[in-house]
Amino acid sequence: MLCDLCKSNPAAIHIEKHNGENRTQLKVCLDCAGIEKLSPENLNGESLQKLINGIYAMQSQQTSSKCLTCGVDSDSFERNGKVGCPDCYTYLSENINLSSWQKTPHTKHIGKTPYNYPMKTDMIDHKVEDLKELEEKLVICISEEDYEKAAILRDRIEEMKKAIS
Amino acid sequence: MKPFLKELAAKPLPWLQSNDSTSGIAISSRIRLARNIKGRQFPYTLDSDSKVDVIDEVFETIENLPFRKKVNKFELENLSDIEKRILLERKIITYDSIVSEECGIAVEKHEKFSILINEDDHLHIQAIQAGLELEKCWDSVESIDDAFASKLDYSFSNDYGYLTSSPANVGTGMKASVYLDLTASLLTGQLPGIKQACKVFGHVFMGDNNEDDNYCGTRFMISTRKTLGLTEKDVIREFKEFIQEVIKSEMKARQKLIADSPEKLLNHISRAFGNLKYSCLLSEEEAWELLYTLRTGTELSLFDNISAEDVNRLLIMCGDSHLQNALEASLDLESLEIARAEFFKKQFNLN
Repeated sequence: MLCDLCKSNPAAIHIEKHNGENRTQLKVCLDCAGIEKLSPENLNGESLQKLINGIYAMQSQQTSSKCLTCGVDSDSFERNGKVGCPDCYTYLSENINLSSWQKTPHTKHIGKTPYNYPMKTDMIDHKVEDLKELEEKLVICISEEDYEKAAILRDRIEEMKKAIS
Repeated sequence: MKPFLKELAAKPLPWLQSNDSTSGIAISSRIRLARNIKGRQFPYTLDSDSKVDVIDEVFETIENLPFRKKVNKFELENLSDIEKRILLERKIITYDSIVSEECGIAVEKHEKFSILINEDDHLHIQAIQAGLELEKCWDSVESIDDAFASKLDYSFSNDYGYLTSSPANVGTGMKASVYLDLTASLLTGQLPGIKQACKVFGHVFMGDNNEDDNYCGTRFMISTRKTLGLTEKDVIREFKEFIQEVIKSEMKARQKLIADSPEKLLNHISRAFGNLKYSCLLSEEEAWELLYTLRTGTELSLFDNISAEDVNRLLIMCGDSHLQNALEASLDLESLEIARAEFFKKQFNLN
């Protein structure tokens, strides 16, 4: 397994960082860790903490990125867990580890799409099922004389039929 | 006080009116959708003026939607502390929205749904129902979401779905949660098992006051985590099945307690009743805890002369703001605790 920082030497130190529910891992080699600064005499909690801070500072220098639209950078995202605009998902894509946030390896959206949104073909199967369900709901709304909701459903059904065809 | 809020404060909580099949174990269900408007930065990076623009745009959009006559709209800045607290105690707004700048709220007159503007995202569309009614919540939020989407363009990507300020919500933007009374599971030491099951199934387990551990009450919130890789309906179906298992396990624990050590359960509930009846100072949190315990007792038919409806009616009166509104007085914290204790004495005919 290669070092996450230099990507050439074998990794020798494995650091796992727990931030609430979010876990990140970093594997580094002895050179990048600057391990020569540690000797058995000065090995204690403080010196270890310095070593770890040094490794993270180096990682931050190497991987720091910034969203060109809103200015939120990877450090701010690490601290607050929030992005500033839709473009952050492009500019900070290396830093946003969706499978870790969601605790699932599946990071593709297969849920509903907004009204009028052009659909990809792999979504159409889902939509055909949704369409049937919407039509059933429409019948119920009309029988219950809930015409306001029925009007919304009717428009959505029409849009969905257009999108699928 | 604004007439709508005054009227609201006098009403019982709609999400506590239940005669559901879960014997009061599932207190309420909630679904929230996070949405952002295309072409705008998320509230986190917006300045005050731009946030006001978002509120204006959302309020104007509502004016063109079929439900416009059913909702009341407010900018939180224009509400007094007590008005904001009333919305908070009814779970219409969150604590974060009170402390954030430039948030807005649109609430349906019977509290069937609400739209919170500029908290973490431009829109949080929410519906709460009494009992285990996740599908009803979904129907409600979905129709509001579709109505908005017919007039507004959302921030959406084909790969990641609805884009949100937190990567925890990106995808469907949907979080479903159920508020549960797990008294017997707590008393029989089964809570760690439930918590572990939540972890395995990828759900979030929290105490009533958002504590991860060291729970101080008997009510808990279980929420969905996944917003990617599953459709909204699949998330709801799987989550509901999971919650049904938790309810079954709590029912078993209740039966076991009643059969094996009825004194333990009776003691727990009777002490709560005693505290409610005889306390001279009662804080908001304490009164809620005691009343929910009493509610468990009514669900188990331990009282002849108190029904679950009675307790539901009293529950909303625990909140600092609701109590002050009912008493038509502005009180400091200690006077409120005295007034609350007096209120319960009167309710249980001790004065």
